Amino acid sequence: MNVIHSDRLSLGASLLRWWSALSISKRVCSVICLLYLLMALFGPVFAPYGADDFSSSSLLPPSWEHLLGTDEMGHDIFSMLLQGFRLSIGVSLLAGGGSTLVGTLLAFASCYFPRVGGLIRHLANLMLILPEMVVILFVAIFAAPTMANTVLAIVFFSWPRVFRIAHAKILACMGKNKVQYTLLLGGNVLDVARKVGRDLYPVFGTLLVLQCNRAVTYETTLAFFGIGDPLLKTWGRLIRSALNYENFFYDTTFLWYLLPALLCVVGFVASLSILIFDEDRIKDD
Amino acid sequence: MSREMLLQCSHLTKQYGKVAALEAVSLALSPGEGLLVVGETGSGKTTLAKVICGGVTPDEGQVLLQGRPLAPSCRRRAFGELAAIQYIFQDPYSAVDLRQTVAQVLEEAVRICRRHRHPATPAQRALEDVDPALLQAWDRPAGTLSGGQLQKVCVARALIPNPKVLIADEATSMLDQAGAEELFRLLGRIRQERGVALLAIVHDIDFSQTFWDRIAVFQGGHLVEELPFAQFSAQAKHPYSRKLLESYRYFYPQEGETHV
Repeated sequence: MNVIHSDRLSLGASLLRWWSALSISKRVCSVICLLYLLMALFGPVFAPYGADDFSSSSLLPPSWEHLLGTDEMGHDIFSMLLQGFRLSIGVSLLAGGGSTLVGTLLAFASCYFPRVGGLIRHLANLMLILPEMVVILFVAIFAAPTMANTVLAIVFFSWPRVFRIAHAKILACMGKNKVQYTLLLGGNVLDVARKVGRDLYPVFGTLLVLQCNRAVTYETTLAFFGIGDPLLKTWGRLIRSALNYENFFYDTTFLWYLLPALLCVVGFVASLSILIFDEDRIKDD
Repeated sequence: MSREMLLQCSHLTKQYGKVAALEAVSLALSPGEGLLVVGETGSGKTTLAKVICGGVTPDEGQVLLQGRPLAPSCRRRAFGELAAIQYIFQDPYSAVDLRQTVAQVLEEAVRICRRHRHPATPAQRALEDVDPALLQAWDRPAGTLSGGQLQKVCVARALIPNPKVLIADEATSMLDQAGAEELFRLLGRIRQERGVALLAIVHDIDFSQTFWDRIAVFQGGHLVEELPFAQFSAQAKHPYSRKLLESYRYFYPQEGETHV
C-alpha cells in the first residue's frame, strides 16, 4: 500500500524552515561558512600561480600580478592562500568529522555493550587527564610529517571530549521507554541506533562543528610549531613562514603576508563558533 | 504447579540498594487469564512487570514461560520468548518516538518480527482491531495524538507480535476516568478475542469491572494476598486489601450503603 507521509518535508522545505529559525548572526555566519566551503572546493582553481611556481621575484609588494605580493622564495602569496583553503578546511573536516564520528560511535558502543563500555569509559577518562594539545604536539613531532599523520593525531587524541558529551546524551536516551521498548522487543543494534540517533542529531551537529573548529585550530598550532608536511601550505604554514620572515618587525610585509592567512583562520573559527551559539529559549508559542 | 501454566514467577527477589522491591514473589498466570496486580506506589508492582519482560534482572528467582525458564535479561532471550510477553508502558508519550508517524511506530514492530521470521499481525490490521477510528491518524505524527489515542496505538503495537501475555503497567494512569474505562474494556475484549493473558497493574481496583479472574495485592515487595476476583470483597483479610475495599466503597457506595 502506498502511504504518503504528509508530515515529511521535502529537502528544500526543511532547509527553508531551518533557515527561517536562525538568528541574523547565525544567518550571516552560515553564509560565511558556505563561502569557506565553496572556496575549499573551487578556490585553488582560481589560483593564478601553481603550488610549485617559484618563478617570480621574491618579496614583491601587492600588485595586479601578485594580489598579495610574493614570499622570500618568489611564490605568489594569494595562490598559497587559496590553496590553503582546501588544505586547512580539508584537515578541519576530516579531523573534526573523524573525531566526532569516533567519539560518538564509541559512546554508543559503550552504552549498548555494557561490558566493553566500562573499558572505553576508563580509556576516555584517562585520555581526558592528559592535556590534549600537548599530547597531539608530542605525537606529531615524532610521527612522519605527513598530512595524514596530522589528521590521525588530532582524531586519535580529541575524541574523548566528544565521547563524554555524546555518552551522557546517549545514556539518558537509552533509559527512555521508547528505546527500552525496542530492546524489549529484541531489536538489534541498528534499531536502537536509529532511535537514539533521532534524539542525538542536534547534539551531533553541535559536536561536529565544535570539533571542526578545534581541528583547524590544532592544525594551525601544529603548523605554527613547524610540525606537519612542510610542502603543503595550510594557513598555519603560511602564518609560520610569515613569522619566519627576517624583517617581520621592520616593514609592512606582514600586512599582505601574515594578516590574510590569520584572518582566514579567525574568520573560519569565529563563524563556526557563532553557528553553534546557544540561543535556546523557552518558546512562547 | 501444573504444566499448563503459561507464565510462572518463582521466588523473585530484587533489591535496589537496601530497598527490597521484590521479596520472594511467586505468581502464576494461566493462558488467557486476567490478573489484576494492585498495590501502593513502591510496592514492587512495576519491578515485577519489568522482571517478567526482562528489562530488570532479578537478584534471585526465575521466570518460566510455558514451563521453560527465561533468561533474566531480555537480551539473552529468544525472539519467540520476547514476542510472547508484550509490555504496555504507563506513559504513552514516553513509549514512542513522538516525531514518528503512527504508521512508523507500528511498522517498527512489524519489521523486527519479520527479521526474526516471527508471524506478525499487519500494522493496519492491529490498529483496526484496537480502534478503527485510529486509521484516520495513520499518517499523523504520534506527538499530535491525545493520550488515550496514543495509548491505543501502543496497545496495537503490542499486539503485532501476537503475544501470549500482555502486561499493562498502570497503562490507564495517564488517562481520565472515561479513557481508562475504555482502555480496560479494550484490553478485556482483546483478551477474549485473542486468548491473551492479561496482567494489569493498577493502584486502585474498580470492582465494577468483572472481567478479571484474580487479584494479587502487593505491599512492600511482598505478595500479601492473592484471591479470585469474585471472592475478593468477601474473603480479603490483609489490612491493605481491606483498605482498598473501604476506599472503593467510599467513592462508589453500593445500594443501601451510606456514609457521612
